[in-house]
Amino acid sequence: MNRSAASQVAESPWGGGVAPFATSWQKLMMWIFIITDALLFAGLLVGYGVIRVANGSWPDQGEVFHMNFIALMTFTLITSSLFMASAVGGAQAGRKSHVTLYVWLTILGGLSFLGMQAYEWTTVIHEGARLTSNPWGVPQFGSCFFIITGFHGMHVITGVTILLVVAIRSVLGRYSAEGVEIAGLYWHFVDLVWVFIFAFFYLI
Amino acid sequence: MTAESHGYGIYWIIWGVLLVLTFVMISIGEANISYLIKGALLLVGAAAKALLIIFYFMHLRLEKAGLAVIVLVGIFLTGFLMFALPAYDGAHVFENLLYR
Repeated sequence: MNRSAASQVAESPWGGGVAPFATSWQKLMMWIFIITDALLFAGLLVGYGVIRVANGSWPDQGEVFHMNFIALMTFTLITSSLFMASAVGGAQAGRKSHVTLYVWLTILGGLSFLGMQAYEWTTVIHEGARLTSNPWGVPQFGSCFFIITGFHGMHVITGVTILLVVAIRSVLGRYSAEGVEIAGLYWHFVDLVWVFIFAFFYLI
Repeated sequence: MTAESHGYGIYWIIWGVLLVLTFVMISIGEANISYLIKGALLLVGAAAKALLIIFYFMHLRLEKAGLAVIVLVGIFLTGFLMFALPAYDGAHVFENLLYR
């Protein structure tokens, strides 16, 4: 098979070539992981929706949480996504110092988010919320809150870990543009999940 | 370097739109309207934010269309089905509550 035939095969999706959708296998696998991980959160949110509708009554989130604080958490995560997008752009343009700066800023955003989440958890636990009971209403409120935000928080911790590896590699000059982009895909996904948690757990 | 400067510009625009959408959604959440309308509006808002993130921050618009189909159908259709299948049971309970 000559070179042009091989690249033709690679161009057609799942044509038996080495690169389905003309992406590397690393990037494709990250996309497939993101789909499955999105379905995990879809399952959690649907479970929460059924529990909530079946219960009829549900605590007023405005009384439980400080909405301005939750809005600040959302702002932090969206802004960290902006930094990550800038880091990916810098990596593609081959600007090492730009990548290093923006990856560290993204990590800072992620750590701030985690700090705020730790503060939020501490506050509600202090006020008496547990997995099995809480002072505001139906017991399932507590389990939904801890499990959904806990799963998301674990993803943020994972994301920060991945970004720390990228940041250290970029300081050493051992990063690849695609490596930064794939780490970015995961980071944006964590932001994406928060969009749905914010809308359906905190707002409605 | 025009592509590069264009790239950064669009990220700031998307960031701004995401923030505006967030504040609109908070207002909707606090508005005194029925749960059905509130839920529908928040669903549209969340989907809009999700699509902006997927297409612009995650660069899905630059990938092959086939990958975009897999991602969007995979996430949204399966997510919808996951909701639709138990929704009948949920709606039944919901109706009882509405007309109680």
